Amino acid sequence: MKYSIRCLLPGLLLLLFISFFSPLNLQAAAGPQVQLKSSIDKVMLVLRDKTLKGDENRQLRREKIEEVIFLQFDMQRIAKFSLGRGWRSLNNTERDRFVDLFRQLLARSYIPTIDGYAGEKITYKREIIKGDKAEVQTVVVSSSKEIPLNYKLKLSNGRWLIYDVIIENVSLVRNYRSQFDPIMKKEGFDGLIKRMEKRIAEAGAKDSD
Amino acid sequence: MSRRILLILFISFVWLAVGVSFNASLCRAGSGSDVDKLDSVDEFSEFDDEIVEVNDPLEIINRPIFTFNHNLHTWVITPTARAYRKVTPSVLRIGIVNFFSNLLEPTRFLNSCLQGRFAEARDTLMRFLLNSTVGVAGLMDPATFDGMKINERRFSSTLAYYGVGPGPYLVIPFYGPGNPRGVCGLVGDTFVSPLFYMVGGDPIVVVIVKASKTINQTSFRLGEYEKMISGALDPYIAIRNAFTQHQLGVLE
Repeated sequence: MKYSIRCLLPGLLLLLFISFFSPLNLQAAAGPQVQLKSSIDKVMLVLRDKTLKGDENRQLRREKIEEVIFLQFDMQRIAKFSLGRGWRSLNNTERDRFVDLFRQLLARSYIPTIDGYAGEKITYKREIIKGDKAEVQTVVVSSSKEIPLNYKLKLSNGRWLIYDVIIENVSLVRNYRSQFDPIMKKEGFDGLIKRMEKRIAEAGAKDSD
Repeated sequence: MSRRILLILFISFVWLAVGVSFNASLCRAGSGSDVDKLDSVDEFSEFDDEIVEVNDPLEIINRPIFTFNHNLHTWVITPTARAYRKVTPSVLRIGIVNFFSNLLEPTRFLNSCLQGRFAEARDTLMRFLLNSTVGVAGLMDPATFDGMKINERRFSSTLAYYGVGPGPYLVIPFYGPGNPRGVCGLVGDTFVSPLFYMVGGDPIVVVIVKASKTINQTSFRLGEYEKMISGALDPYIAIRNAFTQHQLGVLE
């Protein structure tokens, strides 16, 4: 009896210890697809939440989607690659300003698309891991079509974060770079910032219609 | 008459049976190429120093045409397609998509042959025969249901296959992004299309058929173009780059 109690206490402690740290450990061990899927599932939960449905909850719903999504995105890396060589010429304040505006631009233009979700199914096709980089290939299936949607992720601090999205062979980062590059050359960083602010304002105005 | 129907039924069953055996071979082929793809992960190399170069010497002409197409899409095609979608059941709209797609099978067949992809050519021929008979003149697509996918080989891809470059970027009025190679390909495809010989060369009929096809297709893609350019700082460049990237991906 004495023996079993003596065993029980360390056992309990061990159990407590494991249960306390296991979510963290699991997350660190989880692969890119598992982490990505968990984020997408969270977005789905928001979209299916009955208390968040309807136009009157649109603002709150979209804020929640945005919160989940950007936790999975490496905005710094997306911004850096989208600017390309232009990134190097910026100081830290300018970089922060650019990342912030880019995030707003992406949120304003793509969150409504996600919010317009109409029951499409996401099929996880394949997960390719190479060192600290990975690609997760998915297909968005609706009644009339199938759209290949691949995510590129990089491991940072135990989390797999998205740094590019490829829709039907079109990389988002490359697409933005093709736009940012000529603007940076012709109008400089200030011109780019002005254009981004204008676009965000336009998207915001359209959004509140 | 009844003998003919029996014959058609018999042929259809033979197609179905052969189709199933082809599916098995398709699956094997598919899994093999997937393994090869694993090696191409090296494209993960950063695009940090990649320079954006595009062949667009006609930008001065392309931009106004882009604006024209944009306005046409926004103010004419989209509202028409929206109204059309409201009054037309989706079964019929899907039927029309299938019908037009089926008429492209001869060009897909020919171009698969020209590119030496004989297995694809065989599958495309199967698709065409199955869909034209069991699929009621192509209105239905039992071939896809049976696991036979479309092999999108056209004259433009044959030209690319034999090393013809795309040429400068072009925005084609009423059509959208393209290049000279694509235009030549379209002309080639037209001459192989049964539709061309069905409607003849009457330009009015051609315009009506093309317009109907466009409206029908747009009814499935409402809002897609808008989504594509919603986050763009320069929609002209965004579309041009998307077209270029997509082309490269498709031709790989």
